[in-house]
Amino acid sequence: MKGVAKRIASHFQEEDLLSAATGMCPGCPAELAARVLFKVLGKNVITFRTPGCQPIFMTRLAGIPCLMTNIASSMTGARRYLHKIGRDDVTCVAFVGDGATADVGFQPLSAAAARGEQLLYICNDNEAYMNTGVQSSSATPQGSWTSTTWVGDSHRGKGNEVKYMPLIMLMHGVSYVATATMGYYEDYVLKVEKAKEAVKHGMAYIHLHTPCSIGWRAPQEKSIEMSRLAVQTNYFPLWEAEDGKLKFTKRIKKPTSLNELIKLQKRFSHINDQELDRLKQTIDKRLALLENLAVE
Amino acid sequence: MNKPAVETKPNIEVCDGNKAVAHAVRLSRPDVVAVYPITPQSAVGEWLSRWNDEGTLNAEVVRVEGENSSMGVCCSASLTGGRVFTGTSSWGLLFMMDGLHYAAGYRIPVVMTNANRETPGIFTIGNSSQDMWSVRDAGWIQVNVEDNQEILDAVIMAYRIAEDTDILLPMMVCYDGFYLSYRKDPLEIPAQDDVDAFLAPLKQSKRNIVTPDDPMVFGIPSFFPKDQGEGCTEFRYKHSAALERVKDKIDTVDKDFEAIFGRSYAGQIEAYRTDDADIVLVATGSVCGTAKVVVDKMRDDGVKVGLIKVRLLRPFPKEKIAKVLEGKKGIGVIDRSVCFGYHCGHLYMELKSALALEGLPTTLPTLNFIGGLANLDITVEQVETTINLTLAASKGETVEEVTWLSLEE
Amino acid sequence: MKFRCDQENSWFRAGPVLGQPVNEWRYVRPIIKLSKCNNCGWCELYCPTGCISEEDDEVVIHLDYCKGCGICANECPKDAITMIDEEEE
Ligand code: SF4
Ligand code: SF4
Repeated sequence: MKGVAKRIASHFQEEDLLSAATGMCPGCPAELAARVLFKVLGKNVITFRTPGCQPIFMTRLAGIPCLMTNIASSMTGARRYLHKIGRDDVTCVAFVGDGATADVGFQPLSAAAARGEQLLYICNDNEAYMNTGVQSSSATPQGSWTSTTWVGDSHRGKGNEVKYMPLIMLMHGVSYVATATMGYYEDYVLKVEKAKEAVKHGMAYIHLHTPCSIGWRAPQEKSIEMSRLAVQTNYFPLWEAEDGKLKFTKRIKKPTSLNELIKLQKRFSHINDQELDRLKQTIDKRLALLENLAVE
Repeated sequence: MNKPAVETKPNIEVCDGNKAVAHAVRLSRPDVVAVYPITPQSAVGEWLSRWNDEGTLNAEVVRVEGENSSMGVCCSASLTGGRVFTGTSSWGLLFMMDGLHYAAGYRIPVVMTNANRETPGIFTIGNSSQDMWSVRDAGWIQVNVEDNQEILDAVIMAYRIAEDTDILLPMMVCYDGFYLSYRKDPLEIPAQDDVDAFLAPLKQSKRNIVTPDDPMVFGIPSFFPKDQGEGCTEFRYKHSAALERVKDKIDTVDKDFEAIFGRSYAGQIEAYRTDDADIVLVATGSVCGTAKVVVDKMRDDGVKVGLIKVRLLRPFPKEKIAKVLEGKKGIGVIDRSVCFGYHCGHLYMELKSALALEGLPTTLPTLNFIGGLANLDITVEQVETTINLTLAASKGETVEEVTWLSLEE
Repeated sequence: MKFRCDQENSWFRAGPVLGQPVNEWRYVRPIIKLSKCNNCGWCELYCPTGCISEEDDEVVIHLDYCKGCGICANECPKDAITMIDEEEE
């Protein structure tokens, strides 16, 4: 190992704590992200997960399987008890899908964030309910085909814009919020390290973008490339906010055309110029909002 | 941090049912308490929060945002080794239905109280048993109590039963909302030392906990060769068998309790003046107080009537009940809820199947009376009616099987 | 009554989880041309299953745990990895 790769690996505290090859689909960046997560966090954790695409099902780590409806509260219970018995050294970490985060588990997550619970919450955002067969969630992008948003005469894919969770979490006043993706490996590793520290003061939330070859109907070898393109097209800007101060961790000077990302995904194969424009507008609007909030 | 106040002597205090719950929880020294308000039990969380803030309770109190979160907090805190508590009622109980199954399925000894109340659909804010019965298949231990002292004592006993390594199941102490939650009685608040002594045996018992020091994983172990179904069958059987063990456990824990505190509730059921009775009323909850008064009165008039107060709802104490009812001439069951699909009350439906399973003659005249929904009183006169009709049926007269008390002309 | 598990509930002590071989999942497999490889380590970092490692200064792919996703080939800056049909020798 050399150069940047070696520098990244120097952040690993632990050997790989996941089993070799989990049950995740080939090419899934979430499997990679979970491996890296625990290499950085180490063993002194209790993991929390829900039914869904959660690779940490196959670990050698202590873990609690939770309901999708209340994972953040389940984390709270354990975290509070550990605090009471003086085990603040243990990190409670969740690796949870976008459905359980933005939809059915949102209420407990919002409340736990507002209470300032010391939890590390990672949202594995693959932009739909992938494990149950690609049903639309509120993280599904506008215009996308899913198995509950079809393309036909009366509708053309998902109608609404995404519910942009990272900013929603920021407005809860949590101690650390970041967006991340495996395409920017070192950025992710550094953010996990910061989150591990931030969790001593309150909630740390990492919104991890994980292209899903099955649900996006895209080539599996391109999943990392797509996660990089998502950043380069400003589709998924990389930023972090420590104590509410938002700053970009990757500035895109010359954005790549959104089409480069979209054309890899058959879920957007129907998209026409007008619809692509609408998606661009959503992205521009979000970027402008982030720019306004950013201190750097 | 202030140390919890330690009462060295029992103390008499006038309190309502909710405060009785709060005292019992405080004395049981929970580690994590989840609170969320819902009428008629909100004061439980108010007292526990207040005592925690004032320093007489040393717990982590989590003010959650909904009942499904209360159960999440309690389950994980218990899985990591803590003693936990939450209280709820009706709509809230139903809102944590997934959590109820989760807690029981993973054998997590959560102790919870439920202030019985009508369920949503017809907008009422009043008592009934509809909520407590509608969660009877979640796999919990459920008891239903008669008065406020019994609430306090039953919650303390619940920890001894739920956390016992022979059992390891969540336990719900139900009490009639409004009737008991708001009624004030002088109660004996036990001394902290006595409660500590009563709960001390739990300290020896070791249960599995989730800790990074020795990781446990959840799921069906891979050594079940065929598929998950075999593993699931085994764990379901063990769960069901553990529930059966609760029957003896609740009786012995009641005796242990009596030895320290001098009060007994007779365990699974209380048989009141049933020995020489010809006919027997069967009821649960606060209505048993009224029923006992009426039984006494009718006894004075020469009617040989008794009462079975059903304390344990899950597991259903069918053996004990059948033993009392053997050879009786008529049974009248009072229900405060409706068992949809059977067009009768829940307790009646439970009792009928218990009698059949225990081999009592199906010809035994058995009647059902539905009353007291949404805070309607079940009056002395109504209980008299139930006894008179049961008596008539026992003598061979034709009587309607199910009587909806307030709908009678 | 015959039980297979000595636990009352469906959770148990975690042993080392080795994972199941995933050979069968694959229809293409990675072949590494060592002459092109400069041991930069990106494939090792990026393999989602964690089946690539460096042994004696040589990049080794443990095919038992390779799902054939092709990410290593796609990410290798030196184009040292090619995906070939599983049927090919
Ligand atoms: S094909 Fe995929 S699984 Fe196989 S070695 Fe390459 S990156 Fe790893
Ligand atoms: S990425 Fe390519 S060049 Fe780098 S170590 Fe792997 S095979 Fe060699």
